[in-house]
Amino acid sequence: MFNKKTTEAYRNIKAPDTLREKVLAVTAARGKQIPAYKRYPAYAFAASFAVLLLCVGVYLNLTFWTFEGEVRDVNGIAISESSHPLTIQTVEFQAERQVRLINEGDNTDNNDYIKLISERCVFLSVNANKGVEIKVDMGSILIFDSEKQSYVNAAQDVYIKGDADFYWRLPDSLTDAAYSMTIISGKNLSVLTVVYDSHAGTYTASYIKK
Amino acid sequence: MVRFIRPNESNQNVGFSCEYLYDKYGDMLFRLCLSILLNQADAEDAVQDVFVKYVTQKTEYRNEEHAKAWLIHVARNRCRDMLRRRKIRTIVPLGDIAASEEPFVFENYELDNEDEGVLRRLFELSEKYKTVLVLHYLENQSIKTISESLGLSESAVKMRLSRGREMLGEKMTGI
Repeated sequence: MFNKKTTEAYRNIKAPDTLREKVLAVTAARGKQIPAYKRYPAYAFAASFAVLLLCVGVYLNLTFWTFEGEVRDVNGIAISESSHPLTIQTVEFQAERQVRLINEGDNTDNNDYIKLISERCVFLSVNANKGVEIKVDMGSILIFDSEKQSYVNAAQDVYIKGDADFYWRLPDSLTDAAYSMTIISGKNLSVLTVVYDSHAGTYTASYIKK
Repeated sequence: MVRFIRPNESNQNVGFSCEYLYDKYGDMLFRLCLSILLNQADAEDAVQDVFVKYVTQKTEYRNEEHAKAWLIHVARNRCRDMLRRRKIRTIVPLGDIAASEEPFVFENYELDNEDEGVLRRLFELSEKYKTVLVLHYLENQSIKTISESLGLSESAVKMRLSRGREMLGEKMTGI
């Protein structure tokens, strides 16, 4: 289309020599500035994945140690710790326990005194920074008072905020029976069910987080 | 000689060295940018931007032809961006309108009147047509390379060549 002379004239148009120096200098400088994540995308991906794993690990660990509104153990048998994340687990436990209870105004000095009695119960501890409501369908709940060094205030429905040790006093029964405790923390609901087998004479507890 | 830089030999892009590509295609890219932008300083900036993008963007090239197509593609897009910005930003005083009608100044290059006339008419065409004409007839690039560079089908490139030839012919007969 174009004659040879015109083509050659066009081809004689050359970039200035200074442009070559400029381009090589700029590209050398910029080449060194390429971020590591662009130069080594596989490493960047691995690093991101490691950070993600770390975050998940930290989250799970925090969840493991802060049982907000959840039962931490049952008579020393750590249900929630051994079954993390909390699901259904049934454990057998010894319900007959010695409990330190205050006996109000029943001594000669008219002062309260502590007595040790044997009860069928479930010992529990809770760490509820946001507060939990705990209800039982049978029996009653007694919360440990650190000042009095005793369990006090028997009730079927209690509200606990912060750390607290308490126990669930189970009713005496000669036949098979099932009792439940409901723990409500915000939108979370957990149920602890205790079943008494009269033939075997054993108690089992199941913890379900809903 | 094609020099392939392995990743562990250079911290630059995986592929061909910048120096190698510039020495081989720098002038072609400069002329292409010049034909689109009609301004030497802008053409230099565009070429520089192309190579900066080459070293900063991680692109795997199948072969040298692919790398060349990529360079042309980026150069053309960069020029179009610059033209768009120029349209937005340029304010031409009324008194300079006559002067601004001159599309390209060849004073830096040794061209006789005939060559200058042909190239001037070519560069007056719209970017759509002159790019394919420049690449195919002046830079001897294949239809395939052009289609790959411009993201067009080969038949579309042929169509533009045909239409561009017609338009240039009309301009030349009007000289």
